[in-house]
Parts: sequence; C-alpha cells; structure tokens
Amino acid sequence: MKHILIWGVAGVLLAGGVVGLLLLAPPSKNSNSSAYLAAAVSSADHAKGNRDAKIVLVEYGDFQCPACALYEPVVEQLEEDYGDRMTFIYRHFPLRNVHAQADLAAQASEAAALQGRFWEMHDLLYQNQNEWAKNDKAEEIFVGYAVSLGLDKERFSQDMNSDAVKTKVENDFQGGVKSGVNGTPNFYLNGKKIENPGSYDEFKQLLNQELERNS
Amino acid sequence: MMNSNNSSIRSSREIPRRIVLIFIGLGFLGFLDSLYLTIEHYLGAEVVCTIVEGCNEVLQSKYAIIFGIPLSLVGVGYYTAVILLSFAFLDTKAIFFMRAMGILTSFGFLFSIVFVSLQQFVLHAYCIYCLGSALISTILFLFSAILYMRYIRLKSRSTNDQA
Repeated sequence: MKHILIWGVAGVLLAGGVVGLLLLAPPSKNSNSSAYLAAAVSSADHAKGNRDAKIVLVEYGDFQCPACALYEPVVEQLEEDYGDRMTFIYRHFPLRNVHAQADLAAQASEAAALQGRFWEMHDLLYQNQNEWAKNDKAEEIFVGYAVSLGLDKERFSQDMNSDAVKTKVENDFQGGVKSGVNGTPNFYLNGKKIENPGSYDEFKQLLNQELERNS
Repeated sequence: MMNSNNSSIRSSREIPRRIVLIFIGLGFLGFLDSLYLTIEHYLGAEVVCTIVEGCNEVLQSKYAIIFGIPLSLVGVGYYTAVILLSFAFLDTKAIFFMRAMGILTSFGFLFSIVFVSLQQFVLHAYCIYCLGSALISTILFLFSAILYMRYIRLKSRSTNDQA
C-alpha cells in the first residue's frame, strides 16, 4: 500500500507538471508573436530610406550585443535592395545588466546625431564592437570615432554625457519595454513584432509578403 | 539492484527524510524549468524573458543543442532522475539510491559551472531559466555533499564503536 502511495505521488507530480506546462505554454507563445510596437514612429526616430514607404522596419538594438552586430550587414543589405520602398528605424535597447558599455555607446551615437552623423557612428560602433565592448576606455574610443568622422570633439564629449542624450536613450528603452522587446535585436515590421529571421533570404521573404499585402 | 543488507539499512536511517523531500521539491522546480524551455523549443516560441535580458540569445546559441538534442531536454531527464531516485529511496530505504544521487548531482553541478561560464565568458548573455537551473543544481549538490559527509562521519563512528 505504501509503495503504491509513494509511486502514485511521484507519477502525479511528473504527469501534473507536464500537463500543467503544456496547458500554460501556448498562450505565452501567442502573446509573444502578437506583440505590437507601442511607441509610434515619429520624427524623433533615426530613419533611413523613404519615410512614406510601405515597409517600416524598426529595430531595437544594443550596440554591444553580438547578435545585433551580426544582423547589421543583413539590415544594410536590405536597405540597399529595397531602397525607396522601405524605411529603417533604429531605436536603442541597451541591455545594461549584461553590457557595461551599452548605454554609453547609445549615448555616443546620439551625440553624433546632434552633429548629423548618427548612422556613421552607428556603423562604426557595430563594425568595431570588439575593440570597445570590453574596454574600460570605451569613452575615449568613442571620442576617437567622433574625431575620425570630423565631429567637434569638445561638443561631442559634452553631448555624450548630457541629460538630453541620456533621456533620449531612456525614452527609446522604455518604448521598447512597452512594445514587449525581450532581447536584442528585436524587429518590428509595420508595427508587428517578427521572429528574428534565420537568414537574409528569410528576411527578404517577410518584406516581400508585406509589400504584396500593402500593394 | 537493491542493496538491503543490514549496514545499508542502518545508515539509511541516518538520512533525514526532510532532506529527501528537499531533493524532491528542488528536483520538481528544475523539472518545470527545463520542461518549459523544452516545450518552447519544440513549439518554436520565444521564451518570456524576465530579470536578465538575452535569454533568446542564449537559447538560440549553438551551445543550446548538443548532438541534436536541446540541453533543456537533457535537463528534464536529469531532474526526472533526481525525483525518481528520491522516491525510490523513500520506498526502499536502500542507500544505493542516495549514492547514485551523489554521483548524479556532482555531474549536474559540474555541468552547471560549464554552462554559467559559457553564458558569462562566451555568449555574454544570460538566460534566467538557465541560471535558475544552475542554482537548483548547486543546491542539490550541496545537500548531497552534506549527506555524504554525514554518512562518512557516522561510518567512522560505527567502525570506532566496533573496534
């Protein structure tokens, strides 16, 4: 009798766990795949391409995230291939807990933006991620990039640590939290969150479907 | 399989039942944790990330799958074994099951060190479910170690008594 009781409890525990989780798991999938961009695209956003295009691709990225650096050339290729048919928006989602320099890098890009060179800084940060990501002197390196882009060095250094720039990064981040960003990079195609495509061709397929739907 | 000679029975009495119940509780938590990741893996869903960011980076990395099997599924097997060994011990009181538990949780602890190091030094991203599992494995190992030391102490005392 005791044997039956003991193994009965074991069976109920394991089977109950499996059934319970199977019942609970699907909703988490649905809620994720139907996440929408909560913060609407505005003139405050950094945009590339045609603002009136039928495809609006928003990326929430972290300059220190290796996966974002991997997606960077993919996105660049998309910009080239789709040209006027697409707008690409980049927003900050610095993963502060794990990436010590993520905030500062985002601020560096915003400081460059104040001198009209956001995208140049964006590209430099991703291309040279290994150089500064684990470096205590990341700030000096960023100033170096600014100088190489021909920016006003003094102004850049001041802007990088200014409250206005920090607020801009924080606003992006909070918008991301509201939109259900749960890692980086996260992409939103015409306002709807998409699973990160595994390849360039998969990405292209998604954009083509979206173009067809809107034509 | 069952080791039920007198000395085993005597020493098995020295294993407090509450420690075995702790094994079951922790094992069940770990079981749920890894089962959740396994289900999400096969459903192809993104995992709900909380507290630390980057769990999808970790779970979609090449280290998350070995020989075609997701690590989370290995975790399910591991925690199922912890639970079954605990119940087998409660049922038979055979010390053999707790010895097996000691070996099993030592491996669990070693692998946890490897996995946390991979997250920290290679991926630079963390997954709360993986960290949770590593924590559970560590506590399981600590309780196994406590049991083992207790066992050694009792054993040496009983040999002294006999001498």
